[in-house]
Amino acid sequence: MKKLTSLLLAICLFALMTPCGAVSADTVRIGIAQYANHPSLDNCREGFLEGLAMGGYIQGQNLEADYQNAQSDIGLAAIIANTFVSSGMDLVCAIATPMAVIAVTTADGRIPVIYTAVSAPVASELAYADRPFDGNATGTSDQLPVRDQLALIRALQPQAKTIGLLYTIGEINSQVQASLYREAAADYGFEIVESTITTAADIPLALPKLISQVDCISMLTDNTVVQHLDLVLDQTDAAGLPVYGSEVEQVKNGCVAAVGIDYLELGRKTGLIAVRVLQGESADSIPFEVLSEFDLFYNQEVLTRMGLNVPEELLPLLSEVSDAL
Amino acid sequence: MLEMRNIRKIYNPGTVRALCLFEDFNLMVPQGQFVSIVGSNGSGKSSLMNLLCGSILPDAGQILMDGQDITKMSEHRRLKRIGRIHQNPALGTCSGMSILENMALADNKPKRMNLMPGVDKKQIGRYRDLLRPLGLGLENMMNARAGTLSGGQRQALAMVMSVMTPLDFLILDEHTAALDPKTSDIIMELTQRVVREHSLTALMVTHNLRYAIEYGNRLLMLHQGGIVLDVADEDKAATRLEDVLGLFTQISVELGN
Amino acid sequence: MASSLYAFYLALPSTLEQGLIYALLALGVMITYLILDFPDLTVDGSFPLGGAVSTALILQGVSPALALLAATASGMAAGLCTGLIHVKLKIRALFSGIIMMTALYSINLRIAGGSSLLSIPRTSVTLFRNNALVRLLPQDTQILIISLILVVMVKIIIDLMLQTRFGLLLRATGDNEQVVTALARNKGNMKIAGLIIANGLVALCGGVLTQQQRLFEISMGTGAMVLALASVIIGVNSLKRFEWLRPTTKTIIGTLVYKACYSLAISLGLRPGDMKLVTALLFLGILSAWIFKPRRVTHDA
Repeated sequence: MKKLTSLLLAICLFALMTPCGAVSADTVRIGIAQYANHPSLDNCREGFLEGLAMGGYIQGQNLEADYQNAQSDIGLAAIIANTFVSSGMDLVCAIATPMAVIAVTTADGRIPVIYTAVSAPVASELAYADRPFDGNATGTSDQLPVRDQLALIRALQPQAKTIGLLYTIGEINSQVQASLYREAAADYGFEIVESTITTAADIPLALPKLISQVDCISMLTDNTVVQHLDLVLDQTDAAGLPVYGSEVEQVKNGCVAAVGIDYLELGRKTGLIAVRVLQGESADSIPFEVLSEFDLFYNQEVLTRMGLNVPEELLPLLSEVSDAL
Repeated sequence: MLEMRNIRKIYNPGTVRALCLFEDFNLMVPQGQFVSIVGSNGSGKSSLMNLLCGSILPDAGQILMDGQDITKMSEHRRLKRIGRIHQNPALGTCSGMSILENMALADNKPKRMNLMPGVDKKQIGRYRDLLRPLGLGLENMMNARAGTLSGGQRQALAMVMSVMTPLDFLILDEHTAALDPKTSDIIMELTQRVVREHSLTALMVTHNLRYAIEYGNRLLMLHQGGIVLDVADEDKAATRLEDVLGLFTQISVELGN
Repeated sequence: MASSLYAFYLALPSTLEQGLIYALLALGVMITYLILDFPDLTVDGSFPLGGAVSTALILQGVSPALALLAATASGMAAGLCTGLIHVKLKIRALFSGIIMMTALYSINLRIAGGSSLLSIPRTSVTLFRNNALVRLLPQDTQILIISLILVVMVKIIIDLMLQTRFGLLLRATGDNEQVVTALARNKGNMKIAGLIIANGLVALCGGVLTQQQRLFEISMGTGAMVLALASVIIGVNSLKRFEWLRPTTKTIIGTLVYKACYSLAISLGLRPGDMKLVTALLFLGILSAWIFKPRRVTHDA
């Protein structure tokens, strides 16, 4: 008891005696809060750091970037956000929608939050459709080119009738994308079948039924499902069902094809926005940005396994990727 | 008046260890009688007390209290008019609460439970007066936690608590067994005085044959769920320790004790 | 090292605020664990229940006070269920709590409309924003003062309650059930009453926290019991020699100390993922360093 008291007392005294401003004034401190552990988001993060470097902020020189990953755990995400905000970061970069929502709410305008890989900023209440945001946040969005994807599926599988979607019930970005699919599917002659999960553990349980009902599955940017793509591919490969990805890494890892977003580029754009904010621009004065160009990727090895082919006329538009990483 | 009619109690029915403890057991205890109950291990002494209080229920038969059938009544409702002192001194009082609080709890027994103050400061004098005759000094330790008291002190306190509010029956379940001889004597004196003062009908289970002879006006000896000795008033006064001891040894030997 | 302590120092106001809010949770667990001697795991479910109910109502525009009232009521209902499961179905205390806690996960998800994450817009009216009281207070101290008022109010109510006839019996129930029965009272009903009060408090805390964070997340209950228990134990054990301090005061202080240790650990650079280990070690240290509560007597041989 006495030891504990004196220890606490010592710590308090020590803290009080510490001179203010213990960190150097020209080092910028940025907290990078990534929601989940998967390649798309990792690419985002790397691109972000590249973007910062392009603006003159170099890790180790005038930049101290603290990277924390929430491992798809919302509780952990909340702790990370709290830590960053209360330790006085100059800026927080939040990667993926759940992290962005938590970071913006926790920061409450006190420090700027630059988000990325948020598919639907307006629906997630991180931006307003008709006026500038007021929460000291901005960023980039990875809205999916749903129509382009549907066209690609139609081209590769002319006979297909149903497309399956698997996503987490609580993720706003997934819900928005699913509704976009539902709206556009009929125009391409498709019907959508949806299956929802709560956690990653549900994936193997939900798949068998979905697989039996559809001709292919198309990935959304759902963080849990993307992180556990291997669980999905385990069963779809066994059933010979093609899976279309939502970005290039997924095609590398076993999806047949994708109209994809280059997350590195997205990250770079985000980094550049961060640079502007660090140099004085208010985050609310910058509307969120999206990528306007998409690349088409395909994986020949997987295509062959599925018995599919890229039509001749499309070949020039597509880039081939392979399993070799 | 307490009455038990045709009581049957089987332990572990339907299993290999099934034991029929009571089969057609009958007992009538008139108002104001002080009964000492002795018996060998497993004779059913404690089970009898448990049946009376309601902590176990009979398989058949009836229990009546003052003519009212209480066989199906829950334990806590029966204990409204029955006080029970256990062998383990720790069971009669709340160890984490002070003597004052314990007595306040007992004092509140017949009152409505509500959000009025639990401890009535004005009663402290009365509580002290109740503790003083014990001669244990408890009246000067009102704020001491019951857990810091000795076994004898706790039993004495438990007794005072039982009779603080109107009571009809007092059940003493080997209540001196865990105490040293001197303290046991003190508690027995207290028991005698309390039973007399409040004109209680009392049943005392004891291992101590001397106490069984000395106290009470009826003596019962149980053996394997049946009564083998039942003497009251003059017959009890005439019974000597040696007779009881002889019978007791006989039935114990039978059981292999 | 210096920058870590500086970070800790910067975080002190927030630590204090969090400590006060979480004190409500600890007070609830104090009632079940300390007073009633009932290990109630319902808490891990009733805490987010309060959060879900309060957030769902606030998002509908309901007033913060009403939302908190509803949250408290929902917690009380949860406590009632645990009590009934334990008393009527004679299921062990620990399992009764686990059953309720598990059921509540699904219930909470439903209340939150299927969403594992809900955020309250900055313009909404909560206990801490956009209401008359808040506008009176200086900017930086709003949360602190409102939490303080709330905690003090709750503490006084609990202290008074424990002095009533009912409170005395509640304490007796946790101390020695036999005495309660001997006093011709129904010990089962007393336990249920205690569970109702405690879980109501816990859910209230969940509601207050979500209104302050403007965030509800489905897993916010995980580890709530551990946090609250650690707070109660730290408070009660380290302040043992100050007998004149009420258990409520000790619990509140314990919560503040716990949160301070937590904040210190984070400031020293421990990763958020390591915090559970830190909590476990803290718990272990406290429990092994001091003799814990004396064992309770159960029943006669």
